[in-house]
Amino acid sequence: MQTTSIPLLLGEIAGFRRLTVKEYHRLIEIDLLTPGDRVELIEGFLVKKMSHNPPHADLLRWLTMKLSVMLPKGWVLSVQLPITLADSEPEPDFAVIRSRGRYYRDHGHPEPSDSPLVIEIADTSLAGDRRDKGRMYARAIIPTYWIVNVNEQQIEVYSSPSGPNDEPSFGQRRDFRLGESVPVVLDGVEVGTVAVAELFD
Amino acid sequence: MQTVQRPPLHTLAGFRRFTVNEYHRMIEIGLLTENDRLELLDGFLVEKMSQNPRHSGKIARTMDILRPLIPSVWMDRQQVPLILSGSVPEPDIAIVRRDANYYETRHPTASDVGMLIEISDSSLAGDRQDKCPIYARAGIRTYWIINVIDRQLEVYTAPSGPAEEPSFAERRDYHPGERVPVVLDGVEVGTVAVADLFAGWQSSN
Repeated sequence: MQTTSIPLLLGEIAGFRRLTVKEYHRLIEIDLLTPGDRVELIEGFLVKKMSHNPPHADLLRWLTMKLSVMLPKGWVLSVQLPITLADSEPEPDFAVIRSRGRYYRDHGHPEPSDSPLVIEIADTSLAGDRRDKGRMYARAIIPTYWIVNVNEQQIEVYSSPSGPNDEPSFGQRRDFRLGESVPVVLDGVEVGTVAVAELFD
Repeated sequence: MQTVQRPPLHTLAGFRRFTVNEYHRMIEIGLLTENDRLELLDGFLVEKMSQNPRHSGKIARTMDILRPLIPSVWMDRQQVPLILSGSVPEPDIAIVRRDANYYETRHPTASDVGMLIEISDSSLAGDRQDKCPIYARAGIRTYWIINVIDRQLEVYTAPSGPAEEPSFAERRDYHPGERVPVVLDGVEVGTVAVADLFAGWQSSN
């Protein structure tokens, strides 16, 4: 069957009833959606998560290790877990989250103000990660969004999110290539760097 | 006016679709309400076009023309749910087998249907690209699109049933000046002058 990839669609298509975050939570509450569904709420749509291929899984492991040891006290690494935005509940490959004890257990998943850095590892999902997720994170005012671009062996660092407007986007994009290092900045403080070459050698 | 600017629903990959049961569950718990004005199409919650007088009038006119031809073993329903596999469309007109309880106890399913009719102006693209595969997969034997934009009646027959690319094998377009046979369960119950279906219509185009 001829299929159309998601990236071309979200945000442009009219005529669908989108789910709110509250409705999405309700569907989880009543077990209509279960962890077995492996979906994220993206701009009101239930989007299936891609399954991992070995390069993607390997980068996940590698970056988990690298980032965990780098984070100072007060921050925690969240791997493929939900963050709650106004119209979406994505489960990014990584989010660096403000450590708040049991706050998230009692008050819900972290929100953008507690998520200064979000990272997606992109191979086949590149177009969607750039367009749909870029728009979504920019609208939510996620301060820094990295796309680990597997095919082009670079890390794309997006910053200066526009916030909600007709066409949310990040004001700045800088690509870090082999030989360069990406600073990890949390609340304006550089806590370490990731060398692009280390990821892809 | 809304236009469908996307690929057909059945070709969209990467989305979690809802089943008919899940759709009903969402209505039951009040997550979806009457105000939502939706159809479940191929597992997607698709908003229905808002009603305008022309569209409502067209449905009434079409029923006035058809009703005298329809044997009493059939009955008509308008813009109410029909349960198909993976979809709960609300076709403008459904000619269905008469039910002693007037379908108070259940919605009709594919095997109850004699023919379905959509009256298409702004909804034309969706009625063709989304509903043709849905109705063809369900084995609906006759599907009419009263195409107001092109002033033609499109008659789709010979549904594929479940298939990778469900479709109607036959489509014949009728124009004012022609007569179209009305066929239910393979029996021609009469004919309709196509011009009558379009009479009184002020085209917006």
